[in-house]
Amino acid sequence: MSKTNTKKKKSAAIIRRNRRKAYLFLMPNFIGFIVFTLIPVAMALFYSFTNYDGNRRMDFLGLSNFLKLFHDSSFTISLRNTIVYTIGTVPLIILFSLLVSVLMNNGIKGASVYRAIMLFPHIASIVAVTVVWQFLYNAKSGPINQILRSIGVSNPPSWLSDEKTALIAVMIMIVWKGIGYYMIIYLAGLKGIPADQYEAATMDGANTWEKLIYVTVPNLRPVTFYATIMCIINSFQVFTPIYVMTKGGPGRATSVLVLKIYEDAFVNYKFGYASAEAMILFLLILIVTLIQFYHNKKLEA
Amino acid sequence: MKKKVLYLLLSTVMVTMAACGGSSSDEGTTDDKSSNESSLDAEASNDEQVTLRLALWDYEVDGPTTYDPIIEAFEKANPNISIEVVGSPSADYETKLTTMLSGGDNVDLFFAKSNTALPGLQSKGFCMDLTPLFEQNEYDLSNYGTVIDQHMTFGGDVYALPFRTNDWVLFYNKDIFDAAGVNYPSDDMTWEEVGELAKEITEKTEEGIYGFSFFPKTGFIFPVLAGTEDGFDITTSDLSCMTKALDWILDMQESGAMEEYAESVSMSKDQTYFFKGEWAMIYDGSWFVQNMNNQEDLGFEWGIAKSPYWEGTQKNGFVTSTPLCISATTEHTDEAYKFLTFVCGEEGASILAKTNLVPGFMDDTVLEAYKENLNLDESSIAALVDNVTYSFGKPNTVFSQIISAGQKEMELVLTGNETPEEFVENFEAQRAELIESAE
Repeated sequence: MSKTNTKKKKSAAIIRRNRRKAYLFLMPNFIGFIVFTLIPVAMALFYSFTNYDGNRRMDFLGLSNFLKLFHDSSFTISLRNTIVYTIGTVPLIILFSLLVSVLMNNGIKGASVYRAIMLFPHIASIVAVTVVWQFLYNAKSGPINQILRSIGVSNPPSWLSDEKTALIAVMIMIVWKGIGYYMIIYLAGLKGIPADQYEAATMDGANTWEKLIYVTVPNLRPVTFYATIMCIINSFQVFTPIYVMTKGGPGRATSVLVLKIYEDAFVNYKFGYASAEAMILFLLILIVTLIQFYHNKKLEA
Repeated sequence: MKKKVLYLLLSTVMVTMAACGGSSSDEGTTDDKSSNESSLDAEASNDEQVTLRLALWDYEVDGPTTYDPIIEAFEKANPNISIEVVGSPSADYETKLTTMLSGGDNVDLFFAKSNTALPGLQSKGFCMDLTPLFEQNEYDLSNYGTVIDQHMTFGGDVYALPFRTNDWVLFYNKDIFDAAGVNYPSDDMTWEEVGELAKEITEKTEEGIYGFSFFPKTGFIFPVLAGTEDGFDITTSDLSCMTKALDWILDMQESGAMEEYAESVSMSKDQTYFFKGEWAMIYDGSWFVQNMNNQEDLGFEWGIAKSPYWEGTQKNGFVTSTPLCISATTEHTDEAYKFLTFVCGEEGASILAKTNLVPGFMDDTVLEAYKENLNLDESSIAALVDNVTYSFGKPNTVFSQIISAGQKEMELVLTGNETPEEFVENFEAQRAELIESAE
């Protein structure tokens, strides 16, 4: 009796000691998180209620920054563009990467070569890629319009310099660039689907299309869930391709939220106001993610 | 899950970088206090050593030619003061400057990118009011021309001295004009006349050469719009006068005398196309003289004519300036004042004049030094001096935001998305919005 007791005590002590060590190992990460993420986020929340200008003024304004936002045409345009961009890119990226990964997984000849080709845009630097696409989109001498003209389109769009097509042009590039990464995630997911399910489906007389819809897609749901959330968050935070390609132009046609936040904070010195904008962005992402979580849980149940 | 939360939080990190900076500012000041105390002790023994931190852009490029000679001369004259340059690339300078100033990084003096950037910095309290210092030292401001009043004075007080002033003028490629058998542009031309000249040149030269060009960035084109009316003020004036300039630009693009803006931008074109001899004329600031003279094997002769003006206005040209400010939080006011009045005063100006840049401080000696080193013909030299100038009007807290909104809206006209009339309407609406938000 006493023997087991001491044994228990001993193991409890070991667990305690190990736990201490575990926390010690976690500490650098936590300190980094607190200093570089938690405190700044808390400060941003605080600033969003003030007119902080980076130096002198910091009066508490209550909600006035947030009320002002929706009378600020530059903000509403940026908000609208961000939402259009997200709705336009996310479904396409997810759909294309799913289809491509299924094709790759079906033992196509030279699949590894195709995989590398599809992944390449993701590996390439976003700045370099954007500059190249800028040349591709050139209205007069750009390859895209030359191809369009050669197949008989007499008046091809002027892409980045047209208010109506500029955002679409950026979106096309991002879909192309985004597919590779999510394709890899889907490929990993596909490897996890048990082969017997396909065998059973074949026995039941399902064709390839039905197998995709009734076996592959439901099995991939957790992967799709992860991919969609990541993709939405990335789209809401889009900055680099816009900044490099159009700087928000022509006019404000491709201005997005993060670009607007950047300009207000670092060009116009309105840190308080920019923080309020960042809070709206944060809320947007939070709401969309919560909806998806809820939806996913319901499907799982 | 944790990663997701992290991502959510990351979205706000950008803005809050300033917060990190803010918290470190306290350490900065305490550090400095202690060093200041020790320097006070040192003062008794009369060899106080002070280091001034000076923020400027493109030091790697312009340092040896433009800044180093002046800084060396200053350090020689004031052995107890040394200058530490805090540099950054031109494109990132304004962001870096804001972050440094609001983050409490002890910068003692800083250049503002241009006079249009100064109102923003001044209204946030980053710049020291220099008037008391000038009065105390009986400093003579009469050698700085009109830019002190036009660009550096806020509410009757002076907050900066002009290091450089830049009159905007017309640069032209003599070889292209000679080959086409057309007379060079003169010092007295309206924009309409320049347009005709550009069309003639384009017609009479081989394909691929444009008669006229701006540096294809909105900031280099927008000044022309403000010159369409005498006494124009971007905050208060009726904007409909600007259509005149926009119509002119559109006509230039349509006729092929100027490359379409969208095309130039998507090919990332810049002033090097003037160096390459593809543009016969370019409208640019007087700093461009230095760029031109630094080009080896240019392969053509070039000249300068005074800024064109709009029919019916006085013969004014646009002017910008480069202000030097003392940081409001400096611990070394006296030393910083010494440096400011050295760099922007007679000593600095006579050194700067030799580098083909126009110093803000100007008297006969400096002017002679400037002219002597230009390596230009008589009429080009004459075009660079004695100009009557205009700017965007009286600076205020939303000044640079109004200009930036106007530039973005103008881009829509240049790319064919909007008519000049729609531009006036939309720009006026945005201006009203900005003014209202400031109140």
